Amino acid sequence: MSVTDTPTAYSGARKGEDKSFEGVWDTPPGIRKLSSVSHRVVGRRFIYTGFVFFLIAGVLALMVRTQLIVPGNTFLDLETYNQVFTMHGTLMMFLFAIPILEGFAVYLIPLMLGARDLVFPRLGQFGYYCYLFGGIIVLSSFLFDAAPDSGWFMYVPLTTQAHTPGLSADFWLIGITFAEIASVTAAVELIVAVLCARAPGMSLTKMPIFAWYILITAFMIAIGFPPLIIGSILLEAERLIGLPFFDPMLGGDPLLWQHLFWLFGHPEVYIIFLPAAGMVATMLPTFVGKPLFGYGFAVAAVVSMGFISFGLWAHHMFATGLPILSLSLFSAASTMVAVPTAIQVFCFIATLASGRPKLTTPMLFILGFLSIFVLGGLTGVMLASVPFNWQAHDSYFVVAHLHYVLIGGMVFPLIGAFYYWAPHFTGRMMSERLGRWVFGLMFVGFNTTFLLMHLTGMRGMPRRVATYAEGLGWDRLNMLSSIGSYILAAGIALFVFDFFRSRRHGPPAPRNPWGAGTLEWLYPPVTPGFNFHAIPQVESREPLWDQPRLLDQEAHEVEGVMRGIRDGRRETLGSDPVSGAPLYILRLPHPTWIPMIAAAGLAILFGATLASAYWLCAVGAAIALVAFTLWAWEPSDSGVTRDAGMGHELPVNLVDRRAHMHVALVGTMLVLMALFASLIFGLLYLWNIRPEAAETLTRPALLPAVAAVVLGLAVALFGQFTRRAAVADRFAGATVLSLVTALAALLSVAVLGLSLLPIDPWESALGATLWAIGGFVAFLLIVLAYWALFNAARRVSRRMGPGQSMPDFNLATFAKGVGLMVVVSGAFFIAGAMGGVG
Amino acid sequence: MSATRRTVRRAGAVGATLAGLALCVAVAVWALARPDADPVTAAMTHAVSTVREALDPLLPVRTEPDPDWTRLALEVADGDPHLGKTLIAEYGCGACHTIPGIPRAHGSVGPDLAGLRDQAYIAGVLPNRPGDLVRWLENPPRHSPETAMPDMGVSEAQAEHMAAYLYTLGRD
Amino acid sequence: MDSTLGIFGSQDTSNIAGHGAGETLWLTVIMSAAGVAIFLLVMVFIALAWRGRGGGRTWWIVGGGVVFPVVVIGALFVFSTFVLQSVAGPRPPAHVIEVTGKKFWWNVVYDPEGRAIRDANEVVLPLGEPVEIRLKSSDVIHSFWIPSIAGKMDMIPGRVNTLTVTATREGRFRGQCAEFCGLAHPLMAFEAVVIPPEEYEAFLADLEGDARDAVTPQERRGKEVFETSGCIACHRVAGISDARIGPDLTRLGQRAALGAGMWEMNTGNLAGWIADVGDMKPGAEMPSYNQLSGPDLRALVAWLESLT
Repeated sequence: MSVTDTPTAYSGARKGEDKSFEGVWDTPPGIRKLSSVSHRVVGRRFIYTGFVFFLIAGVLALMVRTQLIVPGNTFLDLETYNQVFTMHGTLMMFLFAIPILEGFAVYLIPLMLGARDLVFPRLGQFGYYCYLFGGIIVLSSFLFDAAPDSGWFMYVPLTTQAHTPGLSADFWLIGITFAEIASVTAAVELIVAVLCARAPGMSLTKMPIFAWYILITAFMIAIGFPPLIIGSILLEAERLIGLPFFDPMLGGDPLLWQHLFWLFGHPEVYIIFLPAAGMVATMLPTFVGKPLFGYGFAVAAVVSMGFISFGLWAHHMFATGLPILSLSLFSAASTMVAVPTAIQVFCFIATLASGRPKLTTPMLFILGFLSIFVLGGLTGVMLASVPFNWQAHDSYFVVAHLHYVLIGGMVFPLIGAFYYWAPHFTGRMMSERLGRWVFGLMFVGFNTTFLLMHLTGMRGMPRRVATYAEGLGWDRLNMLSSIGSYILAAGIALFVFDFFRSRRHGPPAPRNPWGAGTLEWLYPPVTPGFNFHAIPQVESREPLWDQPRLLDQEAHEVEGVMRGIRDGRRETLGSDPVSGAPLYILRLPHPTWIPMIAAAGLAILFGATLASAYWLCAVGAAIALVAFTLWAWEPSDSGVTRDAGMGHELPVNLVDRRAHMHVALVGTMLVLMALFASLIFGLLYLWNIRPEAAETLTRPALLPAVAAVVLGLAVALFGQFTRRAAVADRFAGATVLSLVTALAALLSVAVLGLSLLPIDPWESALGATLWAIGGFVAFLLIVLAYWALFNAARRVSRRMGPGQSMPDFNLATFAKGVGLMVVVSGAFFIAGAMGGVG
Repeated sequence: MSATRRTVRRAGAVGATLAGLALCVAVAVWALARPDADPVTAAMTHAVSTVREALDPLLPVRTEPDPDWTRLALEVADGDPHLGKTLIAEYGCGACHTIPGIPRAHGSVGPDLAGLRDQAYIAGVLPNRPGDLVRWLENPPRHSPETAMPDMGVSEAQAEHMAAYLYTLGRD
Repeated sequence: MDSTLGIFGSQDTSNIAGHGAGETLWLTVIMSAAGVAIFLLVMVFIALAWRGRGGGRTWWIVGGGVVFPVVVIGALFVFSTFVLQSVAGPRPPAHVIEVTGKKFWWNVVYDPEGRAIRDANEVVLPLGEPVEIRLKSSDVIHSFWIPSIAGKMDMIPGRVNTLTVTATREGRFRGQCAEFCGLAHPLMAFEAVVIPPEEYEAFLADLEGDARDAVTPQERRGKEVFETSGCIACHRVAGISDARIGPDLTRLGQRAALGAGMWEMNTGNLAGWIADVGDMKPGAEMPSYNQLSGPDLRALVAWLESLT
């Protein structure tokens, strides 16, 4: 069945291009493959790039272990060692763990949920290139002999200009912030993909468990990364132009950095663990032959873990001299996280018990995960005890603990996941026999390396030491740890060998090789680029087990909605976020270079900042701005209705709160609010910790601050009016109101500036923070004004027809969010002007 | 598979597991013990010497090779290289000299002592002979008033041990 | 006097010599034992599950995932809070010592508000008397840790943290910087010396006095070298110079270790240190004095060693 409607004037396919269903979904050949936006291509790129970073970071780890194999070793000098351990941590945490898991999510989520692609494919491409360029910037520091050497935690004041001159810290701050953009964009993308594009009938309660894990993780990324992004920007500002955020002489505080860092850093551990646990929860039922036991418990545990994880950051700071009361509170909160973790572990154990488990290679890795992670969790509970923490903190005990949690909780499931999903990537099975060897070597090597480190730490060996004195009782323990690390590395090397071997010589994978129940195995490997000819109705969490018709037929004959092609466009089904009922036809973009160009523009901007070539910064920013504008400058698809098959007559790109565009905007607002909240946290923290500095601060001007509050409300109000006019298709009204909104936004920038004018940001940390808040809100206001003008221009140039009011609809939500920030900032400025709320 | 083979296999598996466990325990004890009171090393040394003694009558009698005159010339009477090694570490020689086998001895204030045995003179003032090296170590400024190497209060017996160790360096 | 270098267990949390370390070791032992027991229990559960015993049951999740952890954690938290009170609860200190972390050594001032007696890289504690250690930093974050005596506490610029310790055993124990502080972080250690309380006043009185007089001609020459070669610009030797940039050397010869706890104090190491400090401690701010003539170097070393 093929639906042939008259194509609209706009068609994403280029002139003369194949407009058949298969042709439209084809990945372009040759060099143009780089312009692909398909989640399958982008997801695999994330995975493979992440794995390369893993191998590099692994080699660095071997260098660390080789240096420590004997006391007083001279294999590496102190400076190189510091660079090596810093880069090991940085690469593993930022450029391996999170991106590779996001890569798996990007690859698997649409397949599992019954979508043809992620809902924002271009954002995926943009995110990948940001990640790649950011990673290259960080790695390139080795070439300039300026590799960061202050630890992956970048504590101030060690990282300030006074103690780390040169570019090494800048490489870290700029490169990592850039790569984090990828994580945040992928997070927003995954939230929307899980909520807005599922197969018909797939309600939230019928979602595969992996999607729940990813949904929660994505929310955690959206809220957890902003504190570090803000912290990095503040630190870079201190390094570059000398604003004294962290300088105790000028009312700043080095601990502010630690708070911001661990506000990110602790949730990050769970951000790394949860997707991997989601993989376990997906693979385990397959090999047991029974659904995950306690699905509801698992979901509740993951959700509560998401919340709790934001309340325990200070347990990384027990030795900084916090008051006893907060120590006890954070200690209690830290131990509480054991409950949701234990619930998940027992869900897995109960699942094991409910069927007949098969000891395949992925299963071995799951068992490895269970044993190692449980031990790591138990030492985590120990570390939550304050007096014990005072002994163990920053000793090798913590090194052991964190590797148990991260390698056990993430790397073991990940390698298992490779064995499980590699057939899906490559169409060939990996070797079960070699897989067992990989597991054995990794398991033995891992435990030899890290089990002993608990004792090394208890014997008083601190972390991050390039060398140690002989005869204190650490020599033999370290030697064994180093030997263990070589065994672990041999396991990883064997895995890499097996992966490449299987690509050529592995037996071709049959359809659904493991007998899994989730939708990604509907087609025989390799699934075609569009994922589904028709998107089937889903009635259970394991559709392939419970709906025999899915596997009885050839995959392309399976009945479903959206068969065929409309208007020569890529499209998938937009669904209700809760019930999964078909809601609209979601139009998807075709391969394009624009996101890559935007990312390249940003790369130039960041690279030029590093090189202090400020004219080049402007060039980069201009390239990015033009690319973003072109990206958004496309005719709207909404306003028409098409037949989606199986009795569904659906609108194209619905204008509604439930539409993917609007959900994405809400997700973005969440990120922006978290950024703003981090700045406000900084302000309140400094105000609270240094009240005497607040007394001497020059006050912000009162009248402009009051005006800011009023204008903030006006911005929100006019945004809302614009939406009303646009939804009612009042063309002139919407255009004029957009312009008024833009004007209000620009006026807000002016009054915020006027209010801050009396304050010298170089004079005090509080003043600098107020300026940072003003600057951040002003930036968003300028974006808002630009967007409003852009919408007006599109209207005037007749690019938006009746019923195509999505941009204005979104603008209103954005204006309300930014208006709120203006009001809050104005209120703080007023409080400052009146003499303080603190 | 016959029942016997299965039994043999199972016994093998149990044996291997036990051997693995024993190895783990031995390694753990070795790693945790004080180096000077380590039962595993002691047991190993004892076992090796017992085996060697038991095997000794069975091994072919080794013929004496030609005497190594250089080695004999550098023999320090009463010098114990092992003791010397400890003494060198204790006296802080590594602060100025690079000395193989001594932890953290990579100083570059004075010469690298790896090639001392091939040198013709000690510090350019004394001929490189065991007796002279011992005298040098006891009090360097007495032999070379302008030297930066201080008198560290090394006794004659200690100097003999240290010299013995230094002459073991650089030998293949 | 032998330093703690190469002494097995001198930096060990289980080689107890202080109130905090002792109380915490109990906590450690009990938590470890409980941890191992729980780990084995979970492994047994997995083994049973593997054999299909019991089937998947909701009470496993409720019991194992909620009830059991809440009970165990509750008990642990109560226990841990008692230990915390015992370790960090308020105790009136008998003495106050101010320790300032520097890249990469420790400035020590006894009785900072009274006599302000200065020393470096060695902290002497009276047995059995609570001592308040005020922790400061003048550059980056360091962390003060004597595993055998008490848990660690950070030294943060702009703040003063306090750590009250009570030593329970005489002897020498090793401490080390536990927060990464830059290039020579691994080479930043110190020694804690616990002496009988009745000797403490005499120790302080002795520390307070001027440096010993140079006696032999070589020592007198060494003092001259010290005064003329630039050493006095950074180092304090009571009665000779009052500079505060580098460690106080008034009683250098009394210390058992050199270079912030990293080398045995003896003629060889001291001479090597002065001649090429950059090699022994990369990142130290002291320049290498290899321009001194051989006899001058030896004289300087002899004089510094005589400063007992």
